[in-house]
Amino acid sequence: MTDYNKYSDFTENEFIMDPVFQDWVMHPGAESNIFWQSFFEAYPHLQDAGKAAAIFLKQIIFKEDLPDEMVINRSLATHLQAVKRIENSKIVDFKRSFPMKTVLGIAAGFVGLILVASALYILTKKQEPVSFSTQYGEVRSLTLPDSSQVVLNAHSAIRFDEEWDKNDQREVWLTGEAFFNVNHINKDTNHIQKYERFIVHTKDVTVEVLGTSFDIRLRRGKTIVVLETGKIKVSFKNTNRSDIIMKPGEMLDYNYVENKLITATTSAEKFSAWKEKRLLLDNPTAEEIVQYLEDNFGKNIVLENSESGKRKIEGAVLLTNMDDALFVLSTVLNAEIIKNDSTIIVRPR
Amino acid sequence: MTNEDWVNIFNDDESYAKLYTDYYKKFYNYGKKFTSNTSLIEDSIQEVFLEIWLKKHKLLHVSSINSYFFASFRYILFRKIKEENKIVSNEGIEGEASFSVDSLLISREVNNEQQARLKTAFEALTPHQREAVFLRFYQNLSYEEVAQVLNISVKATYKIMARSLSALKNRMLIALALLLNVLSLNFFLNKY
Repeated sequence: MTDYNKYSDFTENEFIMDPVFQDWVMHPGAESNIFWQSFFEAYPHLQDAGKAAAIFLKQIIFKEDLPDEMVINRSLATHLQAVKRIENSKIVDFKRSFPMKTVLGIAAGFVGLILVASALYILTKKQEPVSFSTQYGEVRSLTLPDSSQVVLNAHSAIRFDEEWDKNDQREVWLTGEAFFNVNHINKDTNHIQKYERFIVHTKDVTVEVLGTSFDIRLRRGKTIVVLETGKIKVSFKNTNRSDIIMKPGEMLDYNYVENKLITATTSAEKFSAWKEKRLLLDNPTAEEIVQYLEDNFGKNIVLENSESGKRKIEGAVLLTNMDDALFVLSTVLNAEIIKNDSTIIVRPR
Repeated sequence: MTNEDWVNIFNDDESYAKLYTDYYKKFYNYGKKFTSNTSLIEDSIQEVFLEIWLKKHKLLHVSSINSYFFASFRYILFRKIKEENKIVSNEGIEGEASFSVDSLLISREVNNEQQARLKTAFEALTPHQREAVFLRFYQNLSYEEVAQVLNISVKATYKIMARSLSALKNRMLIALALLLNVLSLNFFLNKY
């Protein structure tokens, strides 16, 4: 507790302005009672000033607007439902990164329609799948059995059958982000053969293509598809949304949890610039930079001032490495960067 | 309560429901000082809790979780009020959210003249000043927390608070002098 000396010549106004005195007047407690009682006994000539200050502060009382208990309960229920939706979509997410036996083990523990359906689907597949994954900060190129090219972005995984049946459709399963350059084997677009199809499954959408190049990004419950060349069809899982046919330069942004779908045009080249290890974001907000760094470098980044996350940063920001990007953030937001083991705090200066 | 305690709350259904209820009341009361549109407040509360829930693993690192909650709610509510005002006003003027002048409760112990004076004094404050006083004296936030919620420095918060309190005080000076004679000394001493 603060010592007496600080208050020994306080005036009424000084008592009013003092946070410790304020705390005592507004919310007296055993400890502060003892302190101030003995203080005013030791300095009786300050009693009048203290009294007047207390009377003044006591008058600052605000109206209390109370919500109905029923309204609160309804709100809580709505919130818990939203949380459950997110949790469910995360459970499905797991499936991709675990071997089949583990998936079934997990599935036994949950009663979820989506998950059960997915597990059954895996069971019916005959072949042993192979999978590839990348660490944070790692980008990896792969060739698929049909010699189509895949560039896998950081913290992502892809799974597909080791050998592809020449008469069957080509299928891959993806989490994270990847850029696809698919071999075109279709001759007649009016008569598409089954084996000519190339299908990318993510937990929320299916992208079906003939021959084309495109980017699929699944981060934070959102799936973004950007088409560079060719034509693709996107179908949605667990919803009755109709399929969407995309044209080059188009972007589809789908949020399963909120069931929100946005389509827009974008620069496909810029969007997929991560392939060349140049992460380029166009007029990003601070929050977008933070999310990109988190997704691809695996650090927690905390913007202590959540409001600053909405600040737009003019021009294109090159995110080649984490420290450069953090430097941009600290300058634009006038913040200091505090690095802990796994977390980086952006604190306003 | 330590930050670890906060994080544990998220793992326990009962504590989490209590946290939701407590902050719902706080946010509702706070939000009502800016708008009478309760559905805006409800939407903001939904949004802020979902955001907090998604970021719960980060909470450990925030210096004050309480003010982080308030700041997040304030930001979302202000955005919604701004959007709403844009739709409502046909000139498309962006109306900033502003702390209601009519949010002071007049204590019954004080006489009519006092009431009127305090009310006028409070109305004369800027919305920012009114809000700072509310956060400090009603929501019981520390100066540091008030600074975080209002997105200003701690120094600026001390300044705002000092200005607000002396503005209130000056208006009431004469009345208080009278009051002091009326009230018994015991009123003050009874407190401890």
